[in-house]
Amino acid sequence: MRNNMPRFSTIVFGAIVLLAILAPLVAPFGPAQQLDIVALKNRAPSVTHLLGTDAYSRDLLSRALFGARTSLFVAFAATTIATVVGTLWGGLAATAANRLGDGMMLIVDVLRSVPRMLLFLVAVALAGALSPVWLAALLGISAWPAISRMAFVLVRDLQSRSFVEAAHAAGSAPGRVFLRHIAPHLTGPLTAAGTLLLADILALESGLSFLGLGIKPPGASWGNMVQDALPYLGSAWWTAAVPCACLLVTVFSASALADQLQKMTRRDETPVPGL
Amino acid sequence: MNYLLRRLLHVLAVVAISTSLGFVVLHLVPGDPLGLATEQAGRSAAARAQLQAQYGLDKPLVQQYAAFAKRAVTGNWGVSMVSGRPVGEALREGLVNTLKLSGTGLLLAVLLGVSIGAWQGWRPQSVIGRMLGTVLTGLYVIPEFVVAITLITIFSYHLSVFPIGGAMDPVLSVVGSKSQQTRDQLWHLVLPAVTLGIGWGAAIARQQRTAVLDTRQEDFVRTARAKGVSANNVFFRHAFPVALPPVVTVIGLMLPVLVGGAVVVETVFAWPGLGSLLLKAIGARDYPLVSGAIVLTGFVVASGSVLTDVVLFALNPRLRAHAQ
Repeated sequence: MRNNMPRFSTIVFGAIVLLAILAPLVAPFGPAQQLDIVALKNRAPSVTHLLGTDAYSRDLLSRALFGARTSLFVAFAATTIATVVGTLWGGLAATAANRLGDGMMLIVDVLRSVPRMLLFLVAVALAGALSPVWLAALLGISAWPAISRMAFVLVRDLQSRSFVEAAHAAGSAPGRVFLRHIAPHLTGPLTAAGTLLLADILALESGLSFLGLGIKPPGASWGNMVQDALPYLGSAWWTAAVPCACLLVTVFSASALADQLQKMTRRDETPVPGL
Repeated sequence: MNYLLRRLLHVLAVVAISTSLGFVVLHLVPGDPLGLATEQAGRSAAARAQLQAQYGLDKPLVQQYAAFAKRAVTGNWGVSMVSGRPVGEALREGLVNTLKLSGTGLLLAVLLGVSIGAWQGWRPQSVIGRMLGTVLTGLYVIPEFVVAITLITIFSYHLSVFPIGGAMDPVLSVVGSKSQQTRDQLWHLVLPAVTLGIGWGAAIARQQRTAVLDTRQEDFVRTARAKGVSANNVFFRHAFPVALPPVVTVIGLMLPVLVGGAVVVETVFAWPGLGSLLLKAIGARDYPLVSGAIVLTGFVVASGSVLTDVVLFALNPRLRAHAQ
């Protein structure tokens, strides 16, 4: 068996993203539509309801599809924010004067050791409920220090390499050296880190929504679907199993993808033998 | 000395930030923190003014912060707005329960993670080791509540082996004998501790594997083998101690996550810890309790990171030499 994991995880993750985008077209029912609270409460999977119905008689398949939309939107937006802010800060710190740069990184390290969960609890205590956009912003803000530490290390390392020194010696302006010689080496590792962060944020968002701090019902998110299912684990376990399985497959395929990207960028870095 | 100074600064900053967060919650909440408490109880304007004076909400912000800092240091948080119970007492109870759960979880995680990871790193060709690696990656990335719910559905609802939640049996805790109570409490601890142990253990194992893989290729390991030291001795005396510090660092970095992760697991298992206390307090807009819990969590995380530094110092002679 040759390693089919990368291809497989790319296809699976791509399919999930596609389904999330097409949710309004694919979903058989509305995500918050209560079909028949008496006859269709906690029904096991059937032909009309492929994944069953939940305690409010909503179709689980439709809810899972719309949940994918919300969860993936939040995760993508948050990852973008974290990667952009983190790279800029880390890159600037690495190019700044030594003492200033170290100071900038000290801030990053301190922020990294504040419990993320506290930040969210405080935000929710202040704002009451968070819209998906604010949730994404908050998740992005909580995640940028990790990316920034990585960008800092990468840029500092690249600056000591001989091809960067050569570019400086040849008289290139600092801005040009950064854009033409350093930046191209950052995209690979940062894409890999971003993909891993996406998986991480997906898990975090679902955790928050599960606690009732993220996406509020009746809006669908995999996390709050599990929350809805919690009282019925003994009688209607599939209402919890559906969102859990969605999460499992998505997070796992995203992190497998990240692993693969990481391996690919690492191969770039090693010198060709015999040269 | 520079290193120690930096670390101290770091810890102080964490405490300062979490204290400020606690203050922000208590005093800068949009609208009036007493709104919900008074509306629900249908209190009069006079009662409201009295409550405001009681919580010091009528004074200028600077004075409020000074009073807040004093309370943060002495741990005297006043009484909860909802239950009327002293906040300090509720927090102490929650902290004890959280430490019980997180401590057991972390112990399991270290035992599992260090042994599995070290074995994977030392024997990288092993088929079982690689299969374990895939499983561990999976367990590392999936959210904790998914593991928790899977365990609870199987072992509590369908097999009825373990209790569904809580820290002790309400009947046994009153009438049971001492040994019955201990056994009951341990029984309640199993599923939540295993949930935490699995997730954190997977993270530790990944780090341990990389660290052992790296040291395995070092010259001193080859030298030790060449001079005739047995494979086991090379591992336990030469390679393993060197591969330990990075793992300790990771455990230290996990501490903030540990507090966050415990909120989720405590909620699923209805464990009466700091996390679920905080969550309930936020739901009820019980601000004295919320800010007390936030500050306390900050202190726990900061002292955890001090502890990590001490362990790192003890393990790594180079760090000691560097600091002097």
